[in-house]
Amino acid sequence: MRITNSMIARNLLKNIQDNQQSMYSTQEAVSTGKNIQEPSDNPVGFSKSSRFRNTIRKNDQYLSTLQSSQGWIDSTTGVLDQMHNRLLDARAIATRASDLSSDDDGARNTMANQIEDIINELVSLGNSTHLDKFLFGGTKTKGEKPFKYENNTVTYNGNTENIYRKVADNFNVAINLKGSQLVNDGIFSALTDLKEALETNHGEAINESIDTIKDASDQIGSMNTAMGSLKTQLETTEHRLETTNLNLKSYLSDTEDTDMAEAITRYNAQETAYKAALQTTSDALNLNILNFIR
Amino acid sequence: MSISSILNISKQALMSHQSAIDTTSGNISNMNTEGYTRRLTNFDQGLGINQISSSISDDSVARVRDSFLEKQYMRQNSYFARYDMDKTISQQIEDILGEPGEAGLSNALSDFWGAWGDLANDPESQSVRTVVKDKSQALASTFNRIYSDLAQLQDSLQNDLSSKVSSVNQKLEQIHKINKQLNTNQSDELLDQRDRVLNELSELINIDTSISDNGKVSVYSSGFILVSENQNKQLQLQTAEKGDTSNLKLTLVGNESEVQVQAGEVGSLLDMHNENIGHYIDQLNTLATNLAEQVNSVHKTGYNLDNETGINFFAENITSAGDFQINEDIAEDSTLIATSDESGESGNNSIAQSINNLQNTGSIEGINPADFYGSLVTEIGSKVQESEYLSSSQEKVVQTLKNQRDSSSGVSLDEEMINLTKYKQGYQAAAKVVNTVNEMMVTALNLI
Amino acid sequence: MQKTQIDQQTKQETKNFGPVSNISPTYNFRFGIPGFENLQKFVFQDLEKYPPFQLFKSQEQEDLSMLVLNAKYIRKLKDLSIPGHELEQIGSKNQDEIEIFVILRVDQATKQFVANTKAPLIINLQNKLGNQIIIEGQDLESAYPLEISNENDNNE
Repeated sequence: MRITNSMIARNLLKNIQDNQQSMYSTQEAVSTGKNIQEPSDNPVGFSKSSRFRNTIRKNDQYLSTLQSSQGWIDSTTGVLDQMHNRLLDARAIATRASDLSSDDDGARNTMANQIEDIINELVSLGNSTHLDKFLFGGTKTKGEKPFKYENNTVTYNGNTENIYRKVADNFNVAINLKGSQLVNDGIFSALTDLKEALETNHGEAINESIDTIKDASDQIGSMNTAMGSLKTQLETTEHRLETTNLNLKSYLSDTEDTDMAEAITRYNAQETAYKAALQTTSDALNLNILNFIR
Repeated sequence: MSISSILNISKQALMSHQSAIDTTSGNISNMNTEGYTRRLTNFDQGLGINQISSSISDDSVARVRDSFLEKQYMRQNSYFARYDMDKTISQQIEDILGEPGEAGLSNALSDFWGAWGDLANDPESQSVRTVVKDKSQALASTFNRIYSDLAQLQDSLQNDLSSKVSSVNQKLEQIHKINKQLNTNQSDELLDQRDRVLNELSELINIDTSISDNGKVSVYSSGFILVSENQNKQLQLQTAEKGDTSNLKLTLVGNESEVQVQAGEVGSLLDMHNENIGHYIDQLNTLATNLAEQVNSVHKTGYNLDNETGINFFAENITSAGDFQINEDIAEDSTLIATSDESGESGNNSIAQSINNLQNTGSIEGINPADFYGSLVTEIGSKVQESEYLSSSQEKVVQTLKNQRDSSSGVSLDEEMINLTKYKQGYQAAAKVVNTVNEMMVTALNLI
Repeated sequence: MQKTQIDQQTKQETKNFGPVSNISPTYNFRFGIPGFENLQKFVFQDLEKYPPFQLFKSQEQEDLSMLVLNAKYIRKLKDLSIPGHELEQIGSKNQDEIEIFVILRVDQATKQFVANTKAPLIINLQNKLGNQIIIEGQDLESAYPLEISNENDNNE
């Protein structure tokens, strides 16, 4: 075929342009460390990695929710622990009271006051907040306090709704302990009854209260256990989501990533250099990599 | 053979070689002229052994141009021009979307869902409501920006189309004029010029040509005759339906039928304007309007911390991604944002959670929002990739054809130089003969 | 467009790690791995250029492969104890019957390798079962930095 000058010039120019093009995209890949710059580089791959990124983002949201839920539950169990301790104190008082002679009004009055203090404390604990929200009011987390102590009765003004948190795709979990449960399980009534019994010197009632208070504290105990199980469940979910995200991230910036290539080359060089250095200082070293990785 | 006849022959030889040298130097000086067809000097064999003649016949300084190759070249060039323009425009579209960048819609959507997720985690918070408002406004401005950029691009394509159609019309007129000029002047320069204009035309629209006996060219495109022996037509651009600027069509002036140009830059512009950008804008609008509607229908049933209900989150009656925005009341006062599905329950996050759930349960023509937009991004990415590939492989086809064409009609400096030497030697040889004959004549005369 | 044919049976070339060899038999991860619960068949491949690093590769999804290291090369994991119920899941009675691997990533800030020591892979060499488990407690990190150092260094 005849070669004309315009042909030569044209081909040469095209080659130069092609080379420049491929150099440019290599540089981009090295600097960002990601294989896919734009959807058009690899439309199918981009679409897949987009979905993975969305999943990672969604899981991060769950993880954040999990953490704050665990904070809520920790506050709850912290309060329950204190309630438990106060109830044990009240039981001790009840035990002492049952040993009093029936005419020791003074002691009984003192004890009634002590029980009153404990009741107030329990109510105050029941009205605890976590980040400015009532722990035990159901979904009435603001405004009027859940518990009121009047006329020797503790009433509950919260509601019986669950506070839900979505912590995984199919896991919308209730994280709260409803104050109504405290009332229903006789936590307060055990003490208000005791106080009344002390004030009216009702010996039998005082004796009974030793057991009812024990039951109440056991109830607190099992509420705590339930919270503990919930917390474990959340932790398991958390760890699973973390591992999922780590695996997904490994997949996305995976063995194709230039970072990986650089890291392993660097590692290799380090190892070689280290081996060399060691050889000059010691003979009897077993140069198995076992000795190298901290 | 008489001396004078030898002289005649020599004279003709001198003149032929002189002419050949002229032609050669013409080729050399036009070596870099685009579309120049080299002139070839054909030396006719004289009749009979003893009649050495070397002369040039009338039509023997021939334009060497293979008409079949020429048509091939123009056809493929039209496609190259089309794919190349497809590539440029679709790359621009991909740039407008800017995925996977922070300014892209995917990221704005992620942030939007994330903000609602945070609110579901803390429904009592006014400060998180502010964040929801901010992220929602960012989502809105992203929708608005992409919409407006795409609409602007579509407009600019329309402008480009107008000017390219003018250019087409200009070239059609030029061809017609040349056809007329050829009546009186069959010059090589005119033919070269006509070929040049035809090539340029093929970059704009796909054309077919036929040459009549009297050397005039007829030009056709997409089933219509644009230049005939006696006239040329003109193209015009108009909207396909009244007022619908998303659809343009080409017609002949004076005729309503559509000229469906498939290739050339005009073919690309029409398709990208009507089919591609029009479609992408539609998809964007579908996403925007459905999203607003679905969020609103949940939000309206919800209660905020002041127990107000029935409030829209996004503006009512959003018709496109261009007017997508949040309810202006909420823009002013983010405490209006609802989280609970019951009155008087500050810790109830049901509405906020439902809105956050729309990232999975939201249905835009049966697909969740991220996947719906994702497939639009992929569609555009594929179009870019495809047109890059087509453009680059078509470029090779065109290069090959151009090389083949140049191979026969282009100028090779080496060849011309060799010819020059050859013709110079021929000229010198002929001149020597003349001298010899001259001497012979002088001798003969002196003999008298 | 030319596609290079890769012979699945013999030596493969990875993009960044050179050739691989010694492809292990297929292990069955009955529960998949977190994030890829639908994938169950995996193999381990040696990296010829970079022993003892290996690739943990899915047989069902071509582009899923992770860099892993046998836990025996990491001093901190010498006393790692795998809970009994996890061993049971892969049909093992004691830890001697299994091998433990950790998945490596590059930390974006330090550009160093970090190992997920909290969620290792365990495999039963006999029955070819495997699982990625999460070890609670035992003070294990999901991004433990790998470094070469002298075993006599004090900073361990």
